[in-house]
Amino acid sequence: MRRLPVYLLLDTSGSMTGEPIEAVKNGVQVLVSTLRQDPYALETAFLSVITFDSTAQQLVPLTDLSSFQIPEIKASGGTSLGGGLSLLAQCIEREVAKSTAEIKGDWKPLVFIMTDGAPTDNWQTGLQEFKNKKVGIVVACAAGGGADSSLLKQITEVVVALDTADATTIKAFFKWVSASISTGSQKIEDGGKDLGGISELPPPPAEVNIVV
Amino acid sequence: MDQLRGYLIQLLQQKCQVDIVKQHPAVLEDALNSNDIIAAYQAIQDNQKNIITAMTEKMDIADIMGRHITMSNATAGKDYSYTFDFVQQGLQRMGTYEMVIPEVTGLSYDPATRTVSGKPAQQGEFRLHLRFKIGDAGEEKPFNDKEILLIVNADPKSLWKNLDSDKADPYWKEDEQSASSHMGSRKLIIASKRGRSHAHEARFRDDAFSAVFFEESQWGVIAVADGAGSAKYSRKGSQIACETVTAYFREKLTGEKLTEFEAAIRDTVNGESYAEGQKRLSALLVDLVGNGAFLAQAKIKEEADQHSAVIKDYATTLIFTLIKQFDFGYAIAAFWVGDGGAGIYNKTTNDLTVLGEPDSGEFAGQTRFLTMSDIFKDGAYATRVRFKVVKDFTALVLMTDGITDPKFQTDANLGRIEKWHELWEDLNGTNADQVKVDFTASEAEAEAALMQWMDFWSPGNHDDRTIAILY
Repeated sequence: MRRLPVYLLLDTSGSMTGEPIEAVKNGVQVLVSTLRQDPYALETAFLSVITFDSTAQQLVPLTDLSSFQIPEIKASGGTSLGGGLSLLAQCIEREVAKSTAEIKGDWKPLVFIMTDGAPTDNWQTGLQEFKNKKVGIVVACAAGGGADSSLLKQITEVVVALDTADATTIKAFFKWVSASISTGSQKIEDGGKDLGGISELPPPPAEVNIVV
Repeated sequence: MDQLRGYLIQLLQQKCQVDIVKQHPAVLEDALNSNDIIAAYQAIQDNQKNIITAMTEKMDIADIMGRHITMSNATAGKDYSYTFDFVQQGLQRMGTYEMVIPEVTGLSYDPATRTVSGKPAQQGEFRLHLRFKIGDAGEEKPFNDKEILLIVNADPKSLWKNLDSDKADPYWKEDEQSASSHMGSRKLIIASKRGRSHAHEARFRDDAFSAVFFEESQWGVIAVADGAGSAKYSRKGSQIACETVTAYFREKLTGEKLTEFEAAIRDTVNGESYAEGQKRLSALLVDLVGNGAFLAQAKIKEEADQHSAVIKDYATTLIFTLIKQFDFGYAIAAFWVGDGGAGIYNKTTNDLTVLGEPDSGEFAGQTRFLTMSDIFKDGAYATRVRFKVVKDFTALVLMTDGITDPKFQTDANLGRIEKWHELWEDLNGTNADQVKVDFTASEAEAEAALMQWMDFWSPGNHDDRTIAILY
């Protein structure tokens, strides 16, 4: 079976402390519970959570949705976005199978990145490593006023912004992410093709603004 | 006595800056024998102990409450068992405790083995309550309550909906269709079924098949096709492709053309005029078979034009075979464009001939379609034509990717006899549902069993399925 790998790259820097980090935790919870109701996603989607603060760590390796457990997410330290992107690239390289005559390759991974601030590390190196990987849709989300959406535009075409990093808004974002993953796994089940741009994603809710 | 002495010296030093040993040794000696002082000291000791006990307990509680405790996920209708490791999970300071599990989960806790087990009846997110006290806390102490999340996944089978396709649609076709017949001394069964992913969204079956046996010439034709999921009228495209091919050969496998064709086959097999026969045969084959496929493309184009649509809307794959039994064995010709698979399988002699190559792209889900303009460009289709003579065979099988994806997984596997043995065993009842296609029974029975076999469960593989077996 071809898997649909989904990577969540989440900012857990100190500025996320309090409501934002709780909202992210809830968001992941909502994401997973919603996807569990979708037979396409339940059978094809594999989820990984990578967080970055002063360093980056893969909290959950690529795991099938039915075995996925919400990890413990805590906020502290700086915003090593570059470290996060670099680790993401390594995880994709290691975990996503490529098609050969002998191997049934996975679908190109979907990547969702969320950050609330400016990177505190040398992020261009990580960006280059990430750019070298073949991926499907990459959505970057600037949560709240502190995030730099023009910087995120260098990572991906598809950038969305949340005006505030509060519980309702972050939850709305994760709801939209789960709908996007559902759409992705559905297209795939259809024997169709990988998702290309934002036009193929479901329309985002009012809280999520598309940055053009 | 020494402890009290030390305590008094230290206390007076700290609180009153008095060195009692030097300044008032007699007072110190008196105090050591004073009942009041001894009692007060004892009370201080007791109170300290109480404070420590109370604080440690609170810290232990806080530790446990703050622990991220996860249980493995369960699946509705499947046996579940999870054993807690109290040391690993930081629960070793727990004394009296109880595990309260919502009754609706159908799970229970065995304290002896620290295991939650049972068969959860329904899916959902449930909260187990670990009610605990620290150490040997007495009865008067309240229980602390820690929630542990238990996720019970739905059985994915239960989430798939089976919605009717729109019968009013001009291109509507049955969600499932099967057939059985004879081709000379061999029997043919075919089954085609709408995939779960199509049924979930009330979409149509895009696969199609067609088969015919010409009594007069003793030639048989079998065709299967898979309409592209992304093309809106592909269900019609696949149908036209199959039906065009069978109609075409009805006309072509007659008269002089047929005589010439069969003569070339005989010459090739006899060997006397082998080289010459083979040359003639491949030219004839490319012409005969290739034109059948080309006509199928033309007919689809015609249909598209009539409906102000483009041929791409009817995108479909196509595999077809011609077969006839001669005195020297069976002559089998094939044409194949797209994914899926076709092969001549001989269980007894361990022989396998795959009748072409699946068109697979670099990425998942990519293939080529009959409806693409370059398929017939510059004679490119010649490589899609195959011919083979075999003495005997167990089965001639044609499949769409709804079957090859779950049963063969990779293109390389399609050429492996072991995978064909597995498929044959699978058809003969070696499968999770124990559905057996009895090839010794009547064709009608075998046809019905094959349709039932098509329901096999393979996670992530829910495309339309079509298989034709000549045996």
